[in-house]
Amino acid sequence: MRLLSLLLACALAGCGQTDLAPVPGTTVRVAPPTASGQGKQALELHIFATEEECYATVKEEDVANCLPFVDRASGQVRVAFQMRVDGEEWKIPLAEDNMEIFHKNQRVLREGRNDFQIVPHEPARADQLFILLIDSSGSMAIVDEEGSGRTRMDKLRAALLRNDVVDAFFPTDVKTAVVPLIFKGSGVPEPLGGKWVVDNKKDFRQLIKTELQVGSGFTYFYNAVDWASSTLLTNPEIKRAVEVGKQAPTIIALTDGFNNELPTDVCGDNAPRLEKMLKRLDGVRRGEASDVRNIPTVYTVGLGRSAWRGFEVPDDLSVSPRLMCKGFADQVINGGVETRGVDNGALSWIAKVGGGNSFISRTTEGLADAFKAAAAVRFRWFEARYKVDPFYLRRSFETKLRLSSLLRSEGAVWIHPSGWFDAPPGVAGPDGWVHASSFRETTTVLLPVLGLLVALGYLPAAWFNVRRALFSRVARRKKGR
Amino acid sequence: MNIFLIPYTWMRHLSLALVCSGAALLAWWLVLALAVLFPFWTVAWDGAVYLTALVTAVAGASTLAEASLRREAVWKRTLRTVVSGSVSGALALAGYWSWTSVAGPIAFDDAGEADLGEPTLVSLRYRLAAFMVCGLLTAVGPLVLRRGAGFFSHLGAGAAAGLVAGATWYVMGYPKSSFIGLSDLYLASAGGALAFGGTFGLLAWGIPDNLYAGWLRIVSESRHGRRIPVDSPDGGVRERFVGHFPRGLDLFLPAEDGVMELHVSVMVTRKQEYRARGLTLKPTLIRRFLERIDLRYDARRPAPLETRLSSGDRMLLGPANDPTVVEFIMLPREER
Repeated sequence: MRLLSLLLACALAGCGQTDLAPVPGTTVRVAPPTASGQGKQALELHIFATEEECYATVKEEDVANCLPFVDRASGQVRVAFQMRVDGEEWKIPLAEDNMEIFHKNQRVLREGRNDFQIVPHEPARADQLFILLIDSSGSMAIVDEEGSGRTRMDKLRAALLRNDVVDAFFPTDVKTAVVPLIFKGSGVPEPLGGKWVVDNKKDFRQLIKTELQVGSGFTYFYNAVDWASSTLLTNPEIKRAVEVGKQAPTIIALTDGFNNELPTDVCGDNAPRLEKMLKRLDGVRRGEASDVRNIPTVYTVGLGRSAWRGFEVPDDLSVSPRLMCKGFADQVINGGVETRGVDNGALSWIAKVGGGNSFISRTTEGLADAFKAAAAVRFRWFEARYKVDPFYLRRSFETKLRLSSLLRSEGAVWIHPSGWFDAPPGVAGPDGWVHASSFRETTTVLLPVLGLLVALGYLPAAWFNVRRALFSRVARRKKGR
Repeated sequence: MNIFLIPYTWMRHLSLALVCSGAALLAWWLVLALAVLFPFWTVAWDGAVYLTALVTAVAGASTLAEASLRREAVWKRTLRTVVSGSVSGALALAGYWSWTSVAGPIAFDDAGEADLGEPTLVSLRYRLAAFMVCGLLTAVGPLVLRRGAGFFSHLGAGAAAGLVAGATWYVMGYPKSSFIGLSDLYLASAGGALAFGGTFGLLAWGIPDNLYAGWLRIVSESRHGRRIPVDSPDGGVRERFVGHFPRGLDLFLPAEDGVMELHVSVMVTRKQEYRARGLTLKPTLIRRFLERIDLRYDARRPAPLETRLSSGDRMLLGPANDPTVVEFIMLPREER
């Protein structure tokens, strides 16, 4: 009896593992998440583990998406997280390319559309400083569509002057400003019209209309990005906007071709240049910044068509001519390989290291969409969804999330699914990702099976009666008896 | 359960399996509801709670089913059910932890011991013994209340239930077995519960013959539907006679139908076997599926011919072209 009491008390109070929090609606328990960051501030990738903190942080209707979720039938796992600096939430834009997911220390690789996904939640605008880095080399005077009379620069100008783009750069609810820069010949960008910081729509429109002109010379694109992400931030006006105005720097770099510094440059020459620039950019983003919120995010926009189809950005920063230029490493850029289109490989790589996204478009509308996306809102919290073979969900596992393009920051959580039973499997949405189903779903198993058992219970009696009815008839007496 | 709804056929033995399966399924659902909606135990207790719930429900259901079939008083049924379920449940809880904490670590090496102690690991290797131990202990509660009757069948049924449930649980939850459309622990845990209850109910205790009694019932037109029990509540031998003898016979049939004064008798032995004896020279035929037995009295023999009767057998008395038909049928003893 004493043993029984002890066992019951142990069950109710919990024998060890009392720090595991049950996830409502599932049979999963979650250990307190851990986070490790780097930098002067406490940069934290905080994973939500309990219902209480989800209710305290996210909207009530999103609590279900905030809680950890494991669906062993489909092999899907979901955790929600938020970036925090010094314990305060830090709204950031984040895409799949900026994040690495590890399941039991094995990186989840993207092999299909549904292998992993980062889903942003609760968009919120933040104070931002948009650094527009515009290629004004001689190629911007090219007219792509014969007969239209519109140069590439004309398309760009039209895109930048669209109301929706201007509204994206200057939203009314937060404080933003634009640093319009052009780069040409020398490689050191210059402020458009000599004005470093433009903080209103009128001035911005005026500058784009009157000052944005095609220049001359070659395209020092890598140098321009490098300069904008490092030297520019030491400019007093920029520094004041970033540090005093708390405007997060967002670089939007646009070009119409390849990085091309000399007339004799071949495509392969860009490999060491890009590698050097990427390493410097990576150093800036991972370095000991005074405030991680001041680290620049880099978006790239290509005006034209992609030169390389199916280019996959590697995870490291080693750039080789063969990787960059495929079979065209020895081909001259000027008038040669640049006729293939925009160097989308380099643009994607820069955007990935820069924590942003890369866009390629040939039209004014496409450019406008790219600018709007680059100036898009940031998000308060995110869902990280991934899919593994269900076989790897048959014991406790650790899910680790790591930012791949910022200060080293990662969060991890141990998830303990029940070893004996599960809640009903999730329901797949149109995107293929499953969502937790209600416990009421259990009645679709319970009631039919119980009904079947009851029906089977009557089967012997029914069979008995049917058999007697069919085979137990007695012939009627013959007449005369 | 109601004995009146369970005819005397081989299928009656399935009834206990169905009831125990239903009880186990309800136990599974209850455990799942608590785990999902009101989780108050730790992950290490998942297995203990799941198996203990199954054991308690199945042991209780088996005892309750028997008490209901025997039409015992409600309070007695309840008491027996609670005692049976509690005894088995408590022992199963202790047995689970004994295996997980004491016996299991001895049986496995260090690596195996670590895996055994990992409560979230889904593995038949480390869980099958827990299923079997709990299955064996399921038998204890009903066995105590049945005063040890069917000792080996109960223990065998318990062990088999544990093994079948463990195997079902594992196969249905194995990801690579998705070809049968079942590959998660949700349905697997339900399937394991059904298998556990079904196997134990099927093997542990069959509905005994002594809950039924043989009846003779006239099927022919004349005196159609008249019936008499051939019963011996004290377990002794009893014989009842059929004929047209006007006094003292158990089942009267008119002589004009060709039935003799003492035409046939039906007896029940101490072993609850039923036998028919032909007592006349006139035609007396026992008819059953693919079989005809002539029981006409043979004067050269020292004793009348007799044959064993089964439920559904028919006795054809009198002329072969227009006999009087009496059927032998097993009905619940309580039938009136």
